Amino acid sequence: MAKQYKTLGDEIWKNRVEPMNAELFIFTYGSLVVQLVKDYEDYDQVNQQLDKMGYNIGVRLIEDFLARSGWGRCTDFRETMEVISKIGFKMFLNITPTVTSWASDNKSCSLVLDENPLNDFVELPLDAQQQLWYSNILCGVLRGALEMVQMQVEVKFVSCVLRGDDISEIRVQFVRHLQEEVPINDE
Amino acid sequence: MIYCLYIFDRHCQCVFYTEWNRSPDRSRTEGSSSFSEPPTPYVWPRPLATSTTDPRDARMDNEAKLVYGVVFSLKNMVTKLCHNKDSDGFVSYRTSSYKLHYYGTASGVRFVLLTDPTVPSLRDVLRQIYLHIYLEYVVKNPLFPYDPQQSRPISNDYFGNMLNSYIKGLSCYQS
Repeated sequence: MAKQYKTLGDEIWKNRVEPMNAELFIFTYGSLVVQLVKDYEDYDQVNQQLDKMGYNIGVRLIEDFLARSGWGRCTDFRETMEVISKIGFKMFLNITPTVTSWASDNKSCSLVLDENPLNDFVELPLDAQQQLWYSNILCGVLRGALEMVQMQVEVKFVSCVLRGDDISEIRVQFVRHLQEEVPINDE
Repeated sequence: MIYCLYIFDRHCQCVFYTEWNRSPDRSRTEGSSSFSEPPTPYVWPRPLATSTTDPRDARMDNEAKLVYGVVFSLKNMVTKLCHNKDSDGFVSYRTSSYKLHYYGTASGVRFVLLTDPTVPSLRDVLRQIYLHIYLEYVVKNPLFPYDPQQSRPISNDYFGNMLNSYIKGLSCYQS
């Protein structure tokens, strides 16, 4: 089963994605974060803003994902996370984070980013290492995208190599299934 | 022959409607041969910038709700009756006078196309519209205010034009 996701992810990456210049992408993101830090002068605010931007990206990105992958509905949260890692991340960033540390109730897990293109060439100043989650935009993207397929989740970074941690880890907590809207009865 | 297309968003609202080969008075009477296709098809909801009104506007709201209601109920019924998770669910239905084609995405966007009853399945056509036209000119359009909490009619001329030329290029468009 897991293999099938990987094959599909590889296939999409090879045939259905237009590659773009990685450096341009990385530096654009870098200057965006720098500008936010200058504007807000507060790392917590910057984290929040990155999350919000990510959310707005996610709600659109999901359409691109669904259209290009042709993926229908996932049966459970476990499958969703596999698809995100093997197809979603592969398709947009060409990485496949490891899905691990499942909670016993199958409602939360971790994505471990063995590599993260956003982090390339980046070194955080000492004061930022305490507070800034440099790639926090990813959390917002996941939250926005999953909300569009009726899943409410909480996503946050728990560790990041830029802060001196050993691994970069995103924790995803499933909250609930959102009800699909029904037409308003206006008889 | 293709009659019309509805697009519904995740809030069950009709965000786009357009029609082809459908006479303005809504009744396909015998004398309809004098009716000629206007250069740009009728579009609803109308863009805010245009002040002109069309007699069809008044009826559209109700019609869109009816169509959505039918599709919504049928889809739910089919899903309940069918236990095969991999099936496509509700795809189309046919009456003696028209055929309704349906395509819905996991994100809640729904496409409904009405054609004459002889047309083969157009599910793939609807998928192409989603993939190449809706995605490119609506979702990826940075000027389109894409707020997930609110319905927003698609008032994008480019989208309309691309859709129009795609539909007119289909072999079943006017046969």
